[in-house]
Amino acid sequence: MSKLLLIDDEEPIRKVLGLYLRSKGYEVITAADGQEGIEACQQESPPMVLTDIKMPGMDGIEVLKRVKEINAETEVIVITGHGDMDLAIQALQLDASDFVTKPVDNRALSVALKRAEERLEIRRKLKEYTDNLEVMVKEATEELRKAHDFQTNLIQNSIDGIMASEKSGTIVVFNQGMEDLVGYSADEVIGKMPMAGIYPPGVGETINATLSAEAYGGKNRLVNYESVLISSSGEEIPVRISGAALFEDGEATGVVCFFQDLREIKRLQRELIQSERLSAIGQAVAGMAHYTKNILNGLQGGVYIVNTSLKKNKPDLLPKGWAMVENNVCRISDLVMNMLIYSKEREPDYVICSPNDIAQEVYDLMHETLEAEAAKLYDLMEKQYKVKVFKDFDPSINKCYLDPTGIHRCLLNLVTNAIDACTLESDEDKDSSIIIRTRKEDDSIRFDVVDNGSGMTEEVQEKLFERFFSTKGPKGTGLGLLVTRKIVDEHGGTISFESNPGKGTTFTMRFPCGKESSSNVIAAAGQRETSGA
Amino acid sequence: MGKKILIVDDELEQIDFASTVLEESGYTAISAMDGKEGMKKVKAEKPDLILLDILMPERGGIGMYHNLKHDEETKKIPVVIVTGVARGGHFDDRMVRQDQDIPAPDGYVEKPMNPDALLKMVSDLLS
Repeated sequence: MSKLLLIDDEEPIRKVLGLYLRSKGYEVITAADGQEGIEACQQESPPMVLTDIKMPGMDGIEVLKRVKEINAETEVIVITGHGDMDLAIQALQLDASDFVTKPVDNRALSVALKRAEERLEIRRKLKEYTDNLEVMVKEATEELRKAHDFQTNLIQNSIDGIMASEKSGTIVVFNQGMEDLVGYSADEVIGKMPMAGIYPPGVGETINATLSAEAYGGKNRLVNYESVLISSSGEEIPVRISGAALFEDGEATGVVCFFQDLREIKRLQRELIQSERLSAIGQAVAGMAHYTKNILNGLQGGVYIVNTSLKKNKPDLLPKGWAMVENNVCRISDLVMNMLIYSKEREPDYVICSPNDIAQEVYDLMHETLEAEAAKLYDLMEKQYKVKVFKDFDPSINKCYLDPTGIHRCLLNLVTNAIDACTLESDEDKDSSIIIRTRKEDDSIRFDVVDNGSGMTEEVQEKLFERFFSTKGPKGTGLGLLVTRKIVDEHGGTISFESNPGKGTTFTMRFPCGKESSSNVIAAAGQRETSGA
Repeated sequence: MGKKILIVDDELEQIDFASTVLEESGYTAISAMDGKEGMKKVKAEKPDLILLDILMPERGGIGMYHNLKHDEETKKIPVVIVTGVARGGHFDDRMVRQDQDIPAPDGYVEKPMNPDALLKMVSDLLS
């Protein structure tokens, strides 16, 4: 029930109107003059006031003004006498909601009250709406502020460097991670530096090109692309970059990139490689120690026999002792050559040579070694040496550009292995043979070393090219095949094998030797000579 | 004719050296390159002492030692083991005996072989 203040100096009117208004459902407060009315207004804050205009003391116009001063939203209806149209107009100008004339007609009053009620209702709704709007705006602003703060924090506190540029390439976002990474402060770069400024020359362009291409994560995206940044002090910093081109309504607006610092990862990688290398060196040293002890054994033996020959004046012992020394000098020279080749980065030393000549040299050397071995065996045990080496060279092979020293080394290693495989063969009646074969293929030269020795088990085949793997115990270093493969790789060739336990093994090496490549080879060889000089 | 010594080694050079050293001191040296051939020579030639390389392919050295010690005919022949594997300068019999109830070798020589040490050991065992 809403309050209504009724102000009139005439008591009968207050009574009659009061009755009527109460019947309409209002809680009616009455006042006999203006002053009393204003006081009631202050105390009760009625939303609606009905006041007579002509009153002794404070008149209705004054009451209207004062009521509006107290609360501008109070609806005031004035009661005017006949012919007081001027006052009525004045009242309306002072924002009275309506006027009714005396004698008050109930219907007219009812209409005026209804209008006032409506105005109150509209105002109330408007206020409610406005109030809600304020709350909603406040809430939305708060959400927005939170989201913005969150994003700013996210960007700022990300461990990864985050950098964004606008369309022109000028940096607009540069977080703490970026500052730490490249040593520029955000103030130095935002709005001042182009994104390309933190890359070494040319790299920024490459990254932009990569971003627009498909290769790393698709068009307009960059996923895990490794590159380098250049710091304020000029240091190159390895980073992994992910990024995206930004679009608004289909139009390019800029680029955002995320940078992961790879310095620590790269350092750990280097350490890992280093420690692997050290452990390999450890294994190698242990293997070498056994092997060199074996050679030393032979050398000391040879020296002892030579000494005995000299001391006891027995010249027939001299060749035997000297052969032993020579043989072991040869072994140690082989070992050192293999170690040098394995431990150093080297380029093949290309010269014009005949592949068959290389194979012939190895054949001659091995033939001689086996002859000596056979003589010794017969001398000591009257036994026939069962390993023989044969050659099968393709006469159509012409001279070409190859590294004869390297290939000689490869063939020597393979033939030595083949001899050992034949020595291991337990069938005494079987004649072991090793064939050194050369063949001309389309644009490569093929070398085969074929033996019918013990062959290799699958387990051995798997480990064949592992570092320092040897089946020969202290009689091998595990270097031979490593070195062979290294030389073949450096030569751009291939090495493969086929082996059957008990039947034998064939190793095949192919070296490219196309005519079209020979000019490049000469150029490369020429350059090397210049740089080496 | 001096006493007969059988050298069993898979390396021809080692045989060559040892036989030269022994023959220079008046012994007769015969040789074999694996355990199987070694046992044949033991039976045929009845050597006075055997110089046996323990590290031959396929447990050749250890196998031959066991064959020698399990055979009544050959178990009394003194055996000197040639080895590159000495743990802290001491030879561990268990490596040769492999937990079997057979006697330990009569002596060891280490590679690289010291000729004087070898000759002293051989002469001590044969005297």
